[in-house]
Amino acid sequence: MHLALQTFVGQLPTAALYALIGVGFVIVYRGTRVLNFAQGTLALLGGYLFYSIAVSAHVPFWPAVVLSVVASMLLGASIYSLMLRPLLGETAILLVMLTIALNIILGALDLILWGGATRFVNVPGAKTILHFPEGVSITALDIAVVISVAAVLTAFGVLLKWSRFGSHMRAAAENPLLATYRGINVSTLAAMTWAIATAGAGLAGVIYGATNGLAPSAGNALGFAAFPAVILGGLDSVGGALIGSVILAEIQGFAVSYLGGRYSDVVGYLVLLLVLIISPTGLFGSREIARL
Amino acid sequence: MKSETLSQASGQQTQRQLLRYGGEHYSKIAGVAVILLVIVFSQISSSAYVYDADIAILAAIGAIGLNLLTGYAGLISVGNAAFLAIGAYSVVLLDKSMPFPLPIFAGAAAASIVGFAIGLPSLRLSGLYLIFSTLALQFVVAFAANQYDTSSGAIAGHFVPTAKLGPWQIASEKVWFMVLLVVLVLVSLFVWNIVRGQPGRAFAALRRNEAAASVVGVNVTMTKLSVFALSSAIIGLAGGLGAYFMQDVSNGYYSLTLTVSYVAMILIGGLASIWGSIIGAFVVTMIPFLMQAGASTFSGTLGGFAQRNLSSLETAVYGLAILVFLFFRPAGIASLAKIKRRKSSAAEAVAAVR
Repeated sequence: MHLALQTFVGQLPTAALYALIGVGFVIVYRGTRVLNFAQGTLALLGGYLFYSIAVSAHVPFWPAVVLSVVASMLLGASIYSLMLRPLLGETAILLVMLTIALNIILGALDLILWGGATRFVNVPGAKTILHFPEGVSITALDIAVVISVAAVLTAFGVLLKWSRFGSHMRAAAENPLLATYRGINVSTLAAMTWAIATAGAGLAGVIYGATNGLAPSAGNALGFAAFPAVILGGLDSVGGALIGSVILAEIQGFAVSYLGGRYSDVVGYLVLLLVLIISPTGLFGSREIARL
Repeated sequence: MKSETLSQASGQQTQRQLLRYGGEHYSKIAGVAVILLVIVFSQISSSAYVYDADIAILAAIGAIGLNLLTGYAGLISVGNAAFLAIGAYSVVLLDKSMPFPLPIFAGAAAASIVGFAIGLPSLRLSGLYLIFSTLALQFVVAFAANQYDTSSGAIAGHFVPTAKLGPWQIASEKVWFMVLLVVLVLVSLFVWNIVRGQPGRAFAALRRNEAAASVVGVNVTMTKLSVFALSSAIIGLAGGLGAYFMQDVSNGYYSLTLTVSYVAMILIGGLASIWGSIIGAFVVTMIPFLMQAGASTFSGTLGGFAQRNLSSLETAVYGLAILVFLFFRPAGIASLAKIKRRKSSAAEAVAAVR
C-alpha cells in the first residue's frame, strides 16, 4: 500500500510535464493541423535557455523563468511564421517531415551548444522533503511543480474557454475559412498558438531541468513519452490530453515500481498500441480525427 | 500534367505511349550502363571505397523499401530502424540452424508479418496514424533487442559468422559488392514492376485522395496493408543482409537517428522514384565521410570544433538537407532529370498536335 501510494504521488510531477507538453501538441494540431514531432526537443531547448540565462548569465530564478518562457514563445511563433506558413496547403506528410527535420536539427544544436553532460537547474529550497501519513514523502520541488503546472493549465483553460482570444482560437480550429469571414486573422492566431504551445513546452523543459537534469537525449524522451498520453486522450482534445497524461504517468510509474525501471518507455508505447487497436479516437477525441 | 491533358485532348494516345516507352528505353539503357560502369569501378578501386559503396547499396535497398511506402503510397513510417533490426536479429537467431540466404528471407518474412500486425489497427484509419504505431514499434523492438542482448550476455553485440553460399565464402568487400548489387537490381526491378502496374496506380490514387481512391474501386485498407507489409519485408531483407555484411548486430545501432537518415535518403533523392532512393542513399551515406574529410581540412578552432561535434553536425546536416529539399525541391534530386524529360515530351506533344 505504501509503495502504491508513494508511486501514485511520485508520478504526479511526471504527469504535469506530460500535460504541459501534450496540451501544446494538441492545440498545435487543432489550430494548424500539424503533428509537431519537435515538441519534446523544443521543451528541452526551453530548459537549456533557462540554464544559460540563470546559471551562465547569473540572472535570478524568477526573472530567468520568465525570460526563457518568453524566448520559447518567440521561437514557437517564428517557427510557424518562417517554416510552416510558407508551406500552407501542403500535405500533412510534408509538414510532419518538416517537424521531424526540425526535431533532429534542434537536437543536434542542443548537443553542440550545451554538450553531452547532464545540466542541473537548482531551485532554492527544492531538496526539502516533506513527510505525509502512510509514509509517503515528496520533495517541496515536486509539490511546487504540480501546483504551478495546474495553475498554468487552469489559466490557459480559462483563457481558451472564456476569453475573446480563446473563442477566436476555437473558431479558427473548427473552421478556418468561416473564421476568416468573421474577421479573425487566422494566420496570426496560428502563430500565437505555436507561441503558447512552445512556451508551455519551454516551461516543461525548465521543470525537467530542475527535477531530472537536462541532457540531449531528454528531448526525444520528453516528447515521445508524451505521445501515448496525447493519443490516449484523443489527439484533438485538450482535456483528454490532461487526463491521458495522468493515466499514462501513473501506468508508467506502477510499471517501474513493480516491474523495473527499463519498462517505463515500452509500457507507454504498449498503451499507445492498445489504444490504436481498441479505440483509435482515444478517450475524448472527435470521430473525424480517425480520418485526419 | 500539362502534357497529359494536351495529348489526351488531341486524342494522341499512341503518340503519348510512344513517348513514354521511349523514356523507359532510355532509363533501361542508362540503368545497364550505370551498372556496368559501377561493376568495373568496384573491382578496380581500393577496398575501403568499395566498403563504403557496399554500405550505400545496403542503404539503397532499405530506401527503396521505404520509398515504396512513403513515396508511392504516401504513408509515413518511422519504423524503418525497427524493421532493419527485425531482419538483423532474425539472422542472429537463425544463422546456426539455416544455411546462408535463408535467415535473410526469414527476417524479411518476420518484418513483413510484424508490419502487417502493426498496420492492422492503424491503417484502418488515416495514414498519419501509422506514424504513431511505427513509433511504438520502434520502442518495443528497441526494448526487446536490448533485453535479448542483455540476457544473452552480448552487450557489445552479436557476432555473425561469414556468409557461405554453398562452397563460396562471401567475405571480401568486392564479392559483397557484387552480391549486394544483384540484390539491389532485383529489388529495384521488383518494385518497379509493382509501381508501374495496377498496384502502382492504386498507390497513386491512395496518395492523392483516400476517399476518391475508394470510390474508383481501390480497396483502401487492403492496399495500405499490403504495401506496408511489402515495404517492411524489403527493409527487413536489407537488415538481414546488413547483419551478414557487417557481421555485428547490437541494439544501439537501430535507433531513431537511423530511421531519420532513411527518411532523409528518400526526401533528398526523390519521393516515388527508384533512382531517387538509390541516389539519396548514396548521398546520405556519403555525408559522414565527406564531413570527416571536410573537418580534417580545417585547422585551428574551426577544425577542432568540427572534429569535436562531428556526429551532431552530421545529424544537423541530415536535418538541414531535409528542410532544404522540402522547401525548394519537394521531388528530390531525381526530379531534376524528370522535369527536363517531361518538358521535352510536352514540347513534342504540342508539336504533334500541330
